Amino acid sequence: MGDAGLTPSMFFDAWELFRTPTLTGTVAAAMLGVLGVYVVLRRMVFLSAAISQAAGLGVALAYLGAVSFGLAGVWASPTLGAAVLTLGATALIAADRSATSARRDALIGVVYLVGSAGMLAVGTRIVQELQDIDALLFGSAVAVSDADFHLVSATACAVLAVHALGWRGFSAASFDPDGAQVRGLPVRALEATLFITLALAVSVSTRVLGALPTFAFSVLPSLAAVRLAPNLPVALLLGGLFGALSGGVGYLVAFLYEIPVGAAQTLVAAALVASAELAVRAARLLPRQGLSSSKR
Amino acid sequence: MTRSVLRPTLFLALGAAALAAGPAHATLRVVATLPDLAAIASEVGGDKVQVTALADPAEDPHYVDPKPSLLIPLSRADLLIVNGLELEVGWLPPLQASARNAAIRTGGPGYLDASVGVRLMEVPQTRIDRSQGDIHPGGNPHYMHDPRAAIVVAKAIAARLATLDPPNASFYAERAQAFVREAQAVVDAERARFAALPSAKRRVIGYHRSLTYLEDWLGLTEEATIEPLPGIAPSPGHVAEVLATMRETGARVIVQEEYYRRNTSETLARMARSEMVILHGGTRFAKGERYLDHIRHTAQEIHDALSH
Amino acid sequence: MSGQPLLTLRQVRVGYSGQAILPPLGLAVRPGDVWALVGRNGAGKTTLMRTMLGLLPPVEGSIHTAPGLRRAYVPQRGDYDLTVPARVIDFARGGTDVGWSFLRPWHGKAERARVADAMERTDTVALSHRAFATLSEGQKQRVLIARALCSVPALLVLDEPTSAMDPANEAAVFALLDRLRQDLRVAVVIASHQLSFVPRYASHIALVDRDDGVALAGPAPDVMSSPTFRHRYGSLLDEPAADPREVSRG
Ligand SMILES: [Zn+2]
Repeated sequence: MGDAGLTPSMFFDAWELFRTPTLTGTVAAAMLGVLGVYVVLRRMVFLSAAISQAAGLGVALAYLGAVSFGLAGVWASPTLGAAVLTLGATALIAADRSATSARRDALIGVVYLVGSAGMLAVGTRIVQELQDIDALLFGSAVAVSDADFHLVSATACAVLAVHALGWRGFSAASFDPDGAQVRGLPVRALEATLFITLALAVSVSTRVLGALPTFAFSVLPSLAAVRLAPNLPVALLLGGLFGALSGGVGYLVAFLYEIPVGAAQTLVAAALVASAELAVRAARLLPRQGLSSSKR
Repeated sequence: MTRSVLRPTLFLALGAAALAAGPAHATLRVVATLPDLAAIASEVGGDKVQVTALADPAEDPHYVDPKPSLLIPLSRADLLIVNGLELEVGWLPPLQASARNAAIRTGGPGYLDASVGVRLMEVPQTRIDRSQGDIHPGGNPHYMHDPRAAIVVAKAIAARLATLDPPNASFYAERAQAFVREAQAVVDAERARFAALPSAKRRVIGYHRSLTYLEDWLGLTEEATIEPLPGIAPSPGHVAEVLATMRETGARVIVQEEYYRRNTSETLARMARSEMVILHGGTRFAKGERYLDHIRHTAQEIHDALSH
Repeated sequence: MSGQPLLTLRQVRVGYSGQAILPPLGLAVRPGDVWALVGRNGAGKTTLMRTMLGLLPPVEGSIHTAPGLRRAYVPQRGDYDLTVPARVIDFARGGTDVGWSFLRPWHGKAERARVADAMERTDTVALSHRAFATLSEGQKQRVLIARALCSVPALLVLDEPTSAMDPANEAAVFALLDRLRQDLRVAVVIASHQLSFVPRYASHIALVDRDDGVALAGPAPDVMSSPTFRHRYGSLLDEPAADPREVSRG
């Protein structure tokens, strides 16, 4: 086909083919767009990158256990390996409640580096499985199996339900932890829940869609949302909406311009950030000329 | 975007015809994973087939990042030609599943593993210790660098096209025969040309273990590969070994495909005062290049470097 | 001042991770009290304050709280991240939740009424739809107090409420706190390294100094007349002409 003209109507005519991957990207990005508001405002943008690497190391270690030490059954399960390392890394990062974010930032860096270097080192012992790891862990956003779509949908439903129910608690624990604790809110439980939902969302999305779009979805839509929203609940809603837009429109853009899906989704999300920034700047210039008339 | 109105309309019309009439339409729709396979399918099928390649020649065939638009030709394909030997294992299965096209599922009537019938090299005899494994567990999958393998593949494609489209069976057979004759001429001519080189010059260093078939055809000796094992990035110790080997054996030409990293090779080339040959990763099928022209070009590049 | 104590410290030594930083201290906070926690920066005021809030366990001694005591904490203005989007009304609403009451996505009628009352008392209603980040320091402090009032506390603890404020705003904040004390009978604890408010508003004083091992607490007149206090702050407090902030740094 090469550069044969691709049009949106061709995309929608073949919707049956694209429905599952497009919806998967949309749902995963909506979930991460909501959680990303906390990620961005708490200055942990590299959290999801670090969690993906930790998950990768977990899978690699499980294979290494099977290949080199003859482990079998549950102990060599890549899913278990990913889960253990993901939760371990998240717990390590979440446990740090020091006053400055500098230490947490450093911890995220350490997890990322140990994860990626560990994966490279272990990788030389399990080359045959490397492609499996690639497929298993850094899934492809182009083609998504129905089972993976169901996994993402179920995760998103659970995570979004928890966050719809508890956003006031997560907000208090995130932005006024001392005040919340004085008022008797279960700050530790809220923190743990917030980080567990983050770890879950990031690892499932990485597994199905890949590391790049997951990282992008957990940072960019919420960045745009925070810029535009007057308050946290609106930011959370906008984050979800912008995420969904990046995931869905990104897939269409990948189709139209024949670029990799994860890259297209990331670029659409980045375009949203740029538009939000422009909108905020335009609004600042506006009051002098435009608003006076609209007030009447 | 500016684009012609005609082509998408035509495309849609063909698609609609395909949906309406099932497989009994004028042309067979063929999808090949690699551009080399696509070029041969096009050569054999002529105007009776419409061929799409999934990978770009500049992409490492082990790690292809497929485009969503490729799901459309896959979904409508009558025939999917794969390289096999687990070359595409990292990226093809989810595409196959998503295409919702029973014909091209593995083992289906429209699924052709081109490696069947090729004389394979480096097939592991035992698979006891998996920690010694690499990304070539089923044998070396890079046979399309060798026109002798292409001859086998062309015949297999002709046979399968004949099964799918019996009225044109003789058309496919004749075109395959023409390709085989031309390919055989290239095989013999290049082999003779390389044989004329002094044997001390017929030594090369590879990057990935992807030149095995090519070297076997042209009578070259691969003294070392820059990757210690296929798919593993070079470690400092291994690079030192390669350098020592280059000095010992006098191998003065490093050959690698365009999609492999060049920093290590460039360092080695500088230190051992050797030449680098960057090969095209495959036939420039989308630009209308023919497979045998690509092969001649490849042989020419290597020959030039060796005769310095 | 009368009534049962809301919070009683008996022979309490405060500190971190098992290490006491101050000598034993006893005090009782009753409804309507205004306690001033004074001392230099780094003297242990914050540690004492966090212990009184229940954020830190005492290293020694015991703390008794009245059953069902509701505390509210007003951290320093600089502790709030201004990039978190919030209008004044959202910011105030953030203080309504107590215990597990957050498990409801929308604020109910009773909660909204509490928020409205708190904003009225702090004169912040007109600011409702302004972005918190765009307020002046004095306005921010009033909003912070409104937020703390939303949980209907019996004990209000403020950390350096008037730092980086001009004298007029400073006076307004203390006047507001005094009004709340009278109208709502809340007890107020103010940790500050500034002393200007002490003679006029404080009913009680806790003076701490980690370096010299000082922990002194009691009714304001008693503490102010003690040699330890006079040694530090002299008679400057009796002379309205002097700027007490100069002294507090010494
Ligand atoms: Zn290979």
